[in-house]
Amino acid sequence: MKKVSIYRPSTVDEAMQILTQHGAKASVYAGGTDLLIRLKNRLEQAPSFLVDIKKIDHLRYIKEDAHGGVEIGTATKLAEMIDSPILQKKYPMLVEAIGKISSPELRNASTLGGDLLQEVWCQYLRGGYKCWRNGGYMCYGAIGDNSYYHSAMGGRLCYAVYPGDAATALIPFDARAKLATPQGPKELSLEQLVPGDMLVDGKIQSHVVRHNEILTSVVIPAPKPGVRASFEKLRPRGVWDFAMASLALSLELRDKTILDSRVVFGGISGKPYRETAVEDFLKGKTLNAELGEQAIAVALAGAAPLKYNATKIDMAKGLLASGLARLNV
Amino acid sequence: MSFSRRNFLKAAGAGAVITAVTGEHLVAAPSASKPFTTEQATFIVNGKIMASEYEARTTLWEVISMKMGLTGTNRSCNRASCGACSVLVDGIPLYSCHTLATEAVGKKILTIEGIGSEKNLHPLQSIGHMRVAADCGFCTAGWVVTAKGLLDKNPRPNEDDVKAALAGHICRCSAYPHIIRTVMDTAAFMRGEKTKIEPELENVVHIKMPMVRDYSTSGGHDASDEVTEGASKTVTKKWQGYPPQNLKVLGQPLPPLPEVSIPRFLGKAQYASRVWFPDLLYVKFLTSPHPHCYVKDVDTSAADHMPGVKHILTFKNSPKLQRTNVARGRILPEPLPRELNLQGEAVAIVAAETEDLAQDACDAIKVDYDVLPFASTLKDTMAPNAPDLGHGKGNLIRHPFSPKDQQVTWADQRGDIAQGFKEADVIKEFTYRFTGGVSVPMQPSGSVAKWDGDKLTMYGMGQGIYPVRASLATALGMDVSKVHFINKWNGSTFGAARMAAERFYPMIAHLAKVTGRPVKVMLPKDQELAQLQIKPETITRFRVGAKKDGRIVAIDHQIDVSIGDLDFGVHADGPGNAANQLELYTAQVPHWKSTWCAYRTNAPRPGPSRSHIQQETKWSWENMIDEMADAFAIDPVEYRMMHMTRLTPGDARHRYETMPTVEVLSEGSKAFGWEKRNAIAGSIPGRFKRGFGLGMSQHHGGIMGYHEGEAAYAALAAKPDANIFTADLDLTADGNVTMKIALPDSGSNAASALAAVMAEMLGFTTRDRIKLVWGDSDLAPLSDEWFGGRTITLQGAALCSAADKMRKDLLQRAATILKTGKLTIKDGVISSAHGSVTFAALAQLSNGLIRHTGSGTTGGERTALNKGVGACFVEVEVDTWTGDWKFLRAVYTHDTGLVINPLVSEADMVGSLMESTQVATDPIPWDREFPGSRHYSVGYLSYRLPTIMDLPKSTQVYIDSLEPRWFYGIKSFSETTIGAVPGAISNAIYNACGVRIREHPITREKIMAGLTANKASKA
Repeated sequence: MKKVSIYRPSTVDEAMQILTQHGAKASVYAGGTDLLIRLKNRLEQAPSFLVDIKKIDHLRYIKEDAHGGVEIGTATKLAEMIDSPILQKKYPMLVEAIGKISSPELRNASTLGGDLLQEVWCQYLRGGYKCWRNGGYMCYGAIGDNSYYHSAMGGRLCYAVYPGDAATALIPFDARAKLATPQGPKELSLEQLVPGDMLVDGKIQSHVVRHNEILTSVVIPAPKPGVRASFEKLRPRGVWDFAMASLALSLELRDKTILDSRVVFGGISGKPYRETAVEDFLKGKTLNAELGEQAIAVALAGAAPLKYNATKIDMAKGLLASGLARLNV
Repeated sequence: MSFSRRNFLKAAGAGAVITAVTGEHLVAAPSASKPFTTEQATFIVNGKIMASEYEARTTLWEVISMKMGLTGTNRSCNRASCGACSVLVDGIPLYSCHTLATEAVGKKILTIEGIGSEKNLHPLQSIGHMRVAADCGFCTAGWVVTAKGLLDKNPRPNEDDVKAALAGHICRCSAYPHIIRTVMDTAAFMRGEKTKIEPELENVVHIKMPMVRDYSTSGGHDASDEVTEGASKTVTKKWQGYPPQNLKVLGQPLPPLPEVSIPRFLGKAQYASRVWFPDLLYVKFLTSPHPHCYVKDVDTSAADHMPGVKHILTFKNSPKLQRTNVARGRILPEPLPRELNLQGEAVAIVAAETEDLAQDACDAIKVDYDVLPFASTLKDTMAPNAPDLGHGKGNLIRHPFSPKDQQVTWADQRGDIAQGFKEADVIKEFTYRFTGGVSVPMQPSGSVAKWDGDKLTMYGMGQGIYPVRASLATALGMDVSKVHFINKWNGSTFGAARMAAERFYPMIAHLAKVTGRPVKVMLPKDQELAQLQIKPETITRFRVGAKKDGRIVAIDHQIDVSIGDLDFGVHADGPGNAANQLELYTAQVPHWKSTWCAYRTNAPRPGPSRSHIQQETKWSWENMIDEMADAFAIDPVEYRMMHMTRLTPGDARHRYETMPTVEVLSEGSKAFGWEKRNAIAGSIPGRFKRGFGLGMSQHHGGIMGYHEGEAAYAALAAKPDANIFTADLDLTADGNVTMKIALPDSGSNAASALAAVMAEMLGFTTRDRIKLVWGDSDLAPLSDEWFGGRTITLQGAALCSAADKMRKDLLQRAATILKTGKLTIKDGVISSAHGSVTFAALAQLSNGLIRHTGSGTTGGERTALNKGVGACFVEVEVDTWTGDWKFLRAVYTHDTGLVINPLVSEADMVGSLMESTQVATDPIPWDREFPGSRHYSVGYLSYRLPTIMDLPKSTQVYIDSLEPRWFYGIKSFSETTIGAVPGAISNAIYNACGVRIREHPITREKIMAGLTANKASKA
């Protein structure tokens, strides 16, 4: 593993000070499940100073708020989210999605914040190629074997797909992210948090959190009545693997009529890909067996597959049909 | 706190065990505004307070295993992708390779050492042993710990709970069904609902074959009491005088021998990676990033004096290996050559105090490469402008026996191929590509070397100890008697790992010598890939002519094979190996021609890799036969019945005594329910479509050897390159019989099977009196290493001849004492009508020891006389919306001979099925767009080994086509059917959804793309 020094601040302010002091060489360290891989693979981009936020109080909790929503501290372990009766009751789709992340032991270590802000899993980056995210000036995935870890929805510099499942599953609930920044607290929608392939403080990253800011919690509004949600994930094996394509779908229904919907694809784009064309199409439609075929016809018109990943689009469309079928009960 | 943590630790000393618990709550010091890069702290490991000093980057595994010497916790992938290293931290399972040590400071850590001990096994361990929940055992410590964590929280889990809890644990041997049963039974036992756990069989169909052959089928053998073999007409007594009748031990479902099996559950099985000394140095390699290069210069000056670095080897200072031929040894390739033919070859080898410090030094070494042109794929190496990788000899391998008139490595034919196509009514052409496969062992390839004066102890990882010991001694120019070689357990080897460890033994020994410290290497998975033997890329072209009724009358078969930088080896060598794959379907084809072209490439080296020339050739044959059957709308079972080789009196090319091709198909299809197959591919309506598929296989694993005492043995054993297997059988004064053999155990539990044969031969009704000593050159007699999945009849030949001698000797001794030759022998007692004498007494009369040594060898006529055959039937379900597919179930049908132990073999066969499924579905991690480059990033996310969630239901069908040449009708069937699996899955996917995958591997992308294309062509 790359040589590191670890800080253990006890407050968010102290953590931000340390991060400010070291700039790009420092990084927040919580579960470490993503970070330790990059350190072990000795990536140039991997930090030398780890700022362990696990000793900071008030980052690890799941609590109901006054409006019937739930706030989750970002140091909360994924396993704790799965075991949470509150989340199980209010957002079963989220719990299902979290249960499909990596493996049980990794979910015992990984945190919500880590899942949201994780680095991409492009094999070229993780394999130490000098790409945009690793001290270089090109994207190997764009021209290389892009069958799994790369965007079929186009890209700019880095073509890696956004790998996380939590963000994809949170967007349908209109969840929001709270950040601590040296300038004071900040709040963003999940879509704003992970817009994919951003240049922030000189680094290409999937999210907009600056090097000295800390994601502190995620707030999920109270579940709306009549909402049904489904999460689908296609992967080679039943554990560990990232999504070849995934879908988080929610429908707000009155009887069989769709009042509103959220359609978010994972594993196909540099960000959780919210497909508003389908959402618009679904509005007012009746949920029935034919709807999937019709929704597919309007889905992912902006697809721009690379050499090896055109099937991601077909798979994602299949998941859309699958999700609609699953909710048509 | 009443005293500072730091002082407390100083008093205790790093790595020391502090037995007194002070009552103080020991936690990490409160954070300061300064970071730490090193730390001293205490951990509560299995109830004991243990102190250690380490770097901030040090993982919990490194502290437990490397600093504290608690080596029971294995590390395999080192990237959080296998679960082998799991420990409980405050009751929660975590991967210790992926947890920084500092995270566990002051917490309660439970490792495998804290679960149970030899004298006090935890039920997970004793029941796991009984249920054969460990084959190679490398993953065992990890899942046992996690299962303990599960049962502590949930004493009443159901099967889904168990699977969910153990989902993060890869068992490379796929003992998953046995692991699930173990945890379920343990839970029931701990609740008091079960009190006794007996070995039980599940999912096995045992077809007892007729003893006498009926030529309407192809199993069995003729009625005489003798077997007349081959052109020499040598007469052999049937069953070697030990008929398969009134069996007491053979055929019983028994767990493996406790001395081999129990340590796997305790974390005590001594894999080389578990060998530990307090003063161990660790090794890291600097490897080449280029597919082909010449090392002009290496500059280690920046690394030589880095912290903890003890010695650096490069081509400049590495000892030159002595390369004379040695008896029963191999010539080791130079470990640090200057011309490197493969990305990932070693350029420098660093020994340092820790792996991290060694890697820091590797990063500081500067290498000046001359980058050379390369060709890493068949397409590139066959191109007209390809670089000449043969240094003037070209890229196509040519041997003295290669045909003069054709540019091929090997060719064979029958009849007149042109005439055959003239006779054909239909001619079809097919091209298939197998892109390469790799059988990855879980144990990191590696070794440990330790010197005591001029004596070297080497802890290795391979398939035998003496050939490598001889090679090592020769390479180092030392007397072989000064090398003590130990290799008892392997975390699988699959053939693949053999060279990866062995090639570097001389360098590791040399490093240990120059540093005066024991030295250990554990290759990381990315570097191991360059050293493992793989299943190579092949491209196969068929031109097939058939009559209107579908009967094939002509096959023109051409295969190209990538062989890396080898000029030799099974893929580049002779007709025997190449012909292997022709046998199933050409026997009744009047006109065929086959050519084999082996090409040098800058790709990983091929070789036996959990079977030998199987998937890489069967992929094309099994797809082709299925496509032909489909073209004529003939059921694939029937189509195979029309063509496959079967025993025919007078067939000079296929002179087998037993070859139950008909039975593996008919019994397999019966057990599977093949008649429910949907006759038209993809015709089932709806989203989820199920399909059946079939593949067949034949394998040389069924070849018999010869044992000492047989007529042909002496001449074969006298050949200078003979493979000689030897074994001692010691009867001692306690009445126990100890088998002493050199072979390690890689998880096949071959020695346990052979122990049952020994028990039967010596008249025991249980196996309890048979003991085992193995894998240690100080204890076991000189012997060859295993190959070809033939341990049961090669090592077995040695043991059986020793047991035969022992039995006859004991009866003779008893006859002298009891004054009669009319004796019975049972459970260590030899009786006459008037009295009896025990084995123990006979040993006592002989100074406490009666030893018989036996030996065996291979070659001769039997090489051509036996094969094993198998068939694999699978059912899959394809989600036609997404391209997803599920492996629902399999019937795995084997030509077994007499089944020695149906329980252990079932465990082995589930592993075979799943390993071959991985080969079928998982590409070798080699980049498609950047040829010659690894496509490896993160542990087993880069090679996707099947998990407990991916397991199909499987049933083993044993066709016990008794082998008349061998004791009790036994033969070997370890790899008989493994080659059938990829074709079977491909054919099932086609049957389900109409998508034919001709280029391996089978992936969801290809299924989806095929479904989309089919839809478009319909529209």
